Amino acid sequence: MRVYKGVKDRYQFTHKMNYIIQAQNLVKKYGHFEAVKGIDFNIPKASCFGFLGPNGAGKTTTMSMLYCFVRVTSGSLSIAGLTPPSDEREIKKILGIVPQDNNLDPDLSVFENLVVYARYYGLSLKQSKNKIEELLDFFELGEKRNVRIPQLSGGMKRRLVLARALLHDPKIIILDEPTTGLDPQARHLIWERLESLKKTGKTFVLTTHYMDEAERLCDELVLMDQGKILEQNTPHKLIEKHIGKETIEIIIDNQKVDSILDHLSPFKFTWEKTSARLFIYTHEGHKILEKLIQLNNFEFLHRRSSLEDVFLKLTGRELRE
Amino acid sequence: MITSRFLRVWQRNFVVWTKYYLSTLIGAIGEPLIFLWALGYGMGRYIVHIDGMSYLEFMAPGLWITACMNASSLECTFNTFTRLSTQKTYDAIIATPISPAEIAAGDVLFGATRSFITGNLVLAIYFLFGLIHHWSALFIPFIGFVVGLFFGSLGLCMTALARSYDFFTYYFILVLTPALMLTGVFFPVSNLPQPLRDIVSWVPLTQMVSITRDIFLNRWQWSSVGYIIYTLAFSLLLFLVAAKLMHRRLIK
Repeated sequence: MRVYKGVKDRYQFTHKMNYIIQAQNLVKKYGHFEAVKGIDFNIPKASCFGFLGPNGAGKTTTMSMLYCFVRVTSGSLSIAGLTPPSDEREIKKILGIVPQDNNLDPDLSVFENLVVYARYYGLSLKQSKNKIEELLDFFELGEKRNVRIPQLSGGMKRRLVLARALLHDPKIIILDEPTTGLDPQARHLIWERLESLKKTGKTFVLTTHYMDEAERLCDELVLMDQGKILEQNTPHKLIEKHIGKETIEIIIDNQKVDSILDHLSPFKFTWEKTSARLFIYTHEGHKILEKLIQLNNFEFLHRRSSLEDVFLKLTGRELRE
Repeated sequence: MITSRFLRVWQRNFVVWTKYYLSTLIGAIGEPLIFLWALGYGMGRYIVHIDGMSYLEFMAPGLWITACMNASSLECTFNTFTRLSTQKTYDAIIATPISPAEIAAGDVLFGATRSFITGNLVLAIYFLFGLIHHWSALFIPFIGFVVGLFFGSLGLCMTALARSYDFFTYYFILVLTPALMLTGVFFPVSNLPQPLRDIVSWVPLTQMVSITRDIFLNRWQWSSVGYIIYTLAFSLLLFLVAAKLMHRRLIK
């Protein structure tokens, strides 16, 4: 509990909800290395819940514990009232998993991939045929049904993996970086499909490195770093709380920073400095802008604050590899 | 616990195999035929007889077993490793209600199926070459299946431990090739020095080679059934190890 900052807000927000996934003090150790260091989260039914964080934050390990690829070291985890590893099979029946890699069967066609995969859930071709046709339509793969996997584009492969995860009508869909490496058209198509699926009452759990994706899809998200949860809230509230509505980026030399901060001292804002930029986070954007225009000495950019600002502020700007 | 879901894994492998079966069959049949021709007709001329048989007759059953052994060994090493590592097919499968042990079972069963298919084809060719004289040969494909289960399980243990394809080169050169040399395929086990002979007699392959030879010659005995059960039990043991290793490899 102590790792949260917005504990009170969160409880007011979530207590009314019906949770489908609940985790308490969840820990994963690989030998001596602690990848996940005792995290708590509750995922409301029919929502989209995001896990964000830099590489090595423990997101993928957390997701893998949800879909039982990784055993929980300690703590409790409940998925629709089921507990891994004893209820592993039952859990997998209600989960649809979109992994980071497109692990499709390259020797088989689009259609065959779905038929073979439906059989893993015990669905015969007869039982799955209608569902397969429906999914091929839904993901605009109908024309590619007889094409083998290596001939598909990245976006098509991703859509096929999504279709594959929906064959057995799962309650919860786990998306591990669903649009990484795709062109904007492909990303938007996937987002639209996910949004329309959300309306059918399915719960989504998502990880992504794209903050625009998280902002668009997630109702609530946690920000992880070094195996801990730094924050949990709605994207909007996270931005409000840590950054303020507006961001002004000023292109500036290091030695001039102090003087400009002096000039801006009458206003309420927080700031951050990188090698060539000063970031001003504020609710009083127009007043600061007026001042900057009056000073007429700087190149600057005024924009709406984004989740990416929160992300960089809370997890720092150093590289993580 | 292993449920009938493992048949779905078998079915997946079979469907994929139908896409490239011709190339695997050419290899599987080609090898024993080349050996048969080179050693049987070529070198065999210099050997009058072994245990009262022509060299061709002596060697044919052993080569037949070799073909079965290779079919499931290749399937459960190189092909399984591709599914496990390169293609990550198994990660896709364990996302469904199928367990790692069921994947192992499906793979071993498919390896044995390939041995069975190869065995039948090689047998048909033997028939055309006039090497089969007794109706008892109809039982031989069953032996091929058992051999397939044994080498499938052993191969799967290797695969679950392998970090790269190179590992299998060692397995084939340092384990399977010596096994062929020592288990009575090319010369009688009785020619081996005593301590080695004792060890080799416990290897299921030796027993399978000798049973197959007996069946070819229609001189099999009920004791052969005991050897088959021994081989099956040995295979089961190896399979359990393979399933355990596979689980450890897939679930962290």
